[in-house]
Amino acid sequence: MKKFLGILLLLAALAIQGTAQPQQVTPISFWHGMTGVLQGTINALTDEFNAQNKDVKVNLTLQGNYDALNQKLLAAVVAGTPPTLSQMFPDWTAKIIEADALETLGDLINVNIVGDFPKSLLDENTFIINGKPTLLTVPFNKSILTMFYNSDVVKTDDLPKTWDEILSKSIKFNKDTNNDGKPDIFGWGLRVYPEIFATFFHQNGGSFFDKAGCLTINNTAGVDAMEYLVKLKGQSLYQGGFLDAPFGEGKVMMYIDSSAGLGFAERGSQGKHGVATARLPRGRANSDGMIQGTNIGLFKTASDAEKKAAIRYVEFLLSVDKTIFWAQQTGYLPVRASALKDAKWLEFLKTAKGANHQAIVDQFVNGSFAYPVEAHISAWGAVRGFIGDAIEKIMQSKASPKDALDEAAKLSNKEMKKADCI
Amino acid sequence: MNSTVTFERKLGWWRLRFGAGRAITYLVLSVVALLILLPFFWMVTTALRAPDEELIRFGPLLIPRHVHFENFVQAWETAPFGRYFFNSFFIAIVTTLAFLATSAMGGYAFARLRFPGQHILWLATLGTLMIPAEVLLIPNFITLAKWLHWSDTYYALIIPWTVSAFGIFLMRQVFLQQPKELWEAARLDGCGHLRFLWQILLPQVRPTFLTLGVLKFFWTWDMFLWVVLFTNADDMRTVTFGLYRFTSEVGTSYELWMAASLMSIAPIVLLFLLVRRQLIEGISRVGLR
Amino acid sequence: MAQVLVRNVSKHFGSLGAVNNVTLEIQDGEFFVLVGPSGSGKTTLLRMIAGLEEITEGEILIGERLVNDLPPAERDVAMVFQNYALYPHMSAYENIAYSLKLRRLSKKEIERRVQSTAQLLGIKDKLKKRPKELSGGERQRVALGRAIVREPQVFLYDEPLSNLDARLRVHMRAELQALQRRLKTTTVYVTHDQVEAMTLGHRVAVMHEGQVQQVDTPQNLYAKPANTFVATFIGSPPMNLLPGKLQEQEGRLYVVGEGFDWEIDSARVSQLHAHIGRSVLVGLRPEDLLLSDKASNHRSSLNIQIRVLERLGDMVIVYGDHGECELTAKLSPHTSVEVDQSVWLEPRIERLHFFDAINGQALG
Repeated sequence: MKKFLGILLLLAALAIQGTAQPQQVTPISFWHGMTGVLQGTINALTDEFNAQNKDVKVNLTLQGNYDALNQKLLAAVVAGTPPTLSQMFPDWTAKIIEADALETLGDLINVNIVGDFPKSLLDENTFIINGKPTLLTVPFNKSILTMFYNSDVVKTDDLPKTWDEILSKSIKFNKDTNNDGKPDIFGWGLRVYPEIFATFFHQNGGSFFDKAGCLTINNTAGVDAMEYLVKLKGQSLYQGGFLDAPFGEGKVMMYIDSSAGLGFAERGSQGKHGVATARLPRGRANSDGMIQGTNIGLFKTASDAEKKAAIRYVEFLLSVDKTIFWAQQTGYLPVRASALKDAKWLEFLKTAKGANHQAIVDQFVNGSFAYPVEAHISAWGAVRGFIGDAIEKIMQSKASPKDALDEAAKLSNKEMKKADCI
Repeated sequence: MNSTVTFERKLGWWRLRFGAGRAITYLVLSVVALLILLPFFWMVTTALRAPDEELIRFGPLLIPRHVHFENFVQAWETAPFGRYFFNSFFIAIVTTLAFLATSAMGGYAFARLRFPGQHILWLATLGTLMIPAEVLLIPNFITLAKWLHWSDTYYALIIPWTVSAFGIFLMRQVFLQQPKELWEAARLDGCGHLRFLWQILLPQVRPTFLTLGVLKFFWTWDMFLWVVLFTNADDMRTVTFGLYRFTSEVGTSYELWMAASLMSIAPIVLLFLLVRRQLIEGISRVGLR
Repeated sequence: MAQVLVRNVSKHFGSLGAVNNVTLEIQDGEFFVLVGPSGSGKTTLLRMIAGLEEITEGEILIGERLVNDLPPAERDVAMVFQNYALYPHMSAYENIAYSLKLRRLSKKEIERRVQSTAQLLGIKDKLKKRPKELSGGERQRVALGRAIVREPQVFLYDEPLSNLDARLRVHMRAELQALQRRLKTTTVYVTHDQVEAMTLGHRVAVMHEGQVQQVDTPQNLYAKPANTFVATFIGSPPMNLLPGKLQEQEGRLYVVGEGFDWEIDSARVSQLHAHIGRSVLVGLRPEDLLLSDKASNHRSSLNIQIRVLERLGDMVIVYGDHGECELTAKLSPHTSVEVDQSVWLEPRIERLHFFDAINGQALG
């Protein structure tokens, strides 16, 4: 036993030794939560950057997943040991700026790039600092809600164009193959999380905040949207997990989810049936889809040299070439307007692999929105949680849409310290 | 008196062996065993299927059409799992041994020794059980990463987990159940506290002690957020961290995930098989006493 | 082997006195018994000798060595516990050998001593068994073996037989006696059982409320109890106690009480003379009451109505009330008496005991 311990300790000592290595270049760190293809792509891009820029060494660190990254980031900010750069969702950013830990990256990178961001992306990265709208972070892996469908079964004419058509057209595909009186193949697959609700709410003409800054999800537009989703649940395959699995198995013909899931939808359907994408059906007010995904922030704790290196790296990632490469590899959106008109991108859309990006990009350019800037407060993480709780209660018929949304609005306004709203 | 007991024991054996009771016992045990094995079975079938392949429904079971052992290779190559396994083993073994030592000694001190400030210390120890882990995350991070500079060291991954109020509490409770005369007899025989703890007292509570050790090993093996918090270097990371490489915000590669999961639980299953005999022996001894 | 001296020893648990200023001289090789009801302090005293309890006041010497501050292992004493306190995970052999192992004796020497001890106790074939596989009597022997093997100066027994059934207890009692005769090791033995105390002890100390009431041979404890506590504690059924008064009449000494008027035999007059006029308790052992017929002087006999009657074969014990007092008498087995019968009992005057009615001390 003693011998065994001794060997373990020795090996440990060797392992610790091995991690240190001397460097003459400016090292910067970039924390992220991307796995699989995303990790492979960012690794490739970073290797390329490091090769081109001998004076900089970008160290990518995967922090397991976004949840772990979030917690580590907050702890590191409090401890004063954040990385140079990190991926972050807007509600994390809101929390981090309370510690005044972020540089205004939008002011530091090339103005041509900033001017080239589509509006919904600018909205999402803008925070009110000292009463002034400020582009704190820059968009990176962005996706948008999109409709996926089984192109072997669902023809273009079958695609719903409105909410009413979702109900009337998808039900035609419901099938009871084992004759137990309940359908086991569904026209529509449904998974409801706050961003799905936000999209239906938005399409229903709702806006999250009134002029006083109170959360208004419990107004007619919100209640109506939830009532619609409950009705849709009644004729759909409803589940909490990703829908690409039942879709691949041919149990679901259509569903709405993040465009970033395209790769998984294609992989799951490979050799079984075709996959296609389409614009979202139109609600009462519009047919917009919500922007999702993370942005990149630069921390104040970095030295000037590190900041300069980091800006170069970010500009590299956001260059037209690289954002196109990133989108081609991962299914995320190119984040620059000029990239969407770039010959290389247009070429890609014509390929078999790129075909499904057409509708996604169309959705992005002509019908996208982000959480309004009022949502960029540190309380938003909690507010999103309250909305999620309300959705769960409603979808499980534990509360009426009105009651649950009232409750969520009340809790949210309290969390945001909007006493007047309650 | 004695012969009655023997007779009843024989009768019980006869019933178990030939009676209807036996059939029911076996039926219940089989159902329970199936319920426990089913998830493992699905892990295996999922790990062996192709990503695009639907599982065949075979009665209540799902079986892959073609077997893809290469999933294991692919999963293994996704991340430096060799290094991850070493780290997981090293951390789990050292943590468990140190934890058992502190639990035994702390529990002993509170159960058998009398020292000034004991009551306050005991309340403080119990008090740490009431603090939710989330609250401690940032203070711990500041202490370990900022002040001690323990990021990317085994110290950060091991030392904070070597003491827990739970272990001390549990060992104190089982020590208190042991007769006081054991200590007195040992004292007269010439035992000091440490020797008594190690040679006399711990063998009495071996099932509890071993179970505590096995649980600690599992918990340490499962540690994820802590590993992420205190490491950036990939060669300081563990198997559980590696498992997250197969799942993301938008989808999961179930076949690779399950292949890697199977590899990650293999050592734990092995450990259990090794300790199992001792555990059962210990438990049956308690039953006979 | 050694003598044990206990000098003015007290033990307080908080403000509670468990042992109060006890002084004892236990001789080398003596079998010394501490007897008393539970809570009398006998076990605490034993544990102080063993070193398991701290001594609040006073001194304890073992073989002329002051042991107050010595840890138990260095006092050269061995103790046998009421519940044996065997180490459950060790075989009988390992249990017996453990203290020798800790003293770093050679394997050979340990083997020799364990074997000879096992031989002495007749458990040679049980050495491989664990305590749970042994019977109560065998465990008792292993516990003894564990003490004997160390060859200590003093054996300390804490109610070692109380966990055994009645028959085994009688048997082990005899064995313990034989063992002690053979080993001649100074022994301090704690029990609440007066029969054990009387049969085993060379001398017995009767303890009550933390104090030693009397130290003497079993015979003397019975014949000359120093006070009413010892008188009623030793002997079964206990001694009868009747209130009375010593009176002198025409140069003769009488003890007078409710319904009796006994002349004290001349041999004891001189002893009791000083207490004339005093209230006393008259002690009567049950076997010193004899059935008498009504015809004799009724002031010399006590009249009781039999309430309970126990026929034990070799004797008949009768219980009845005389005024406020309960009276017990051991009668010949051939006596024909019945429950509810009224009988006259006459004491053997020469066997009367006299105690001060106020402090209970024996008079004379």
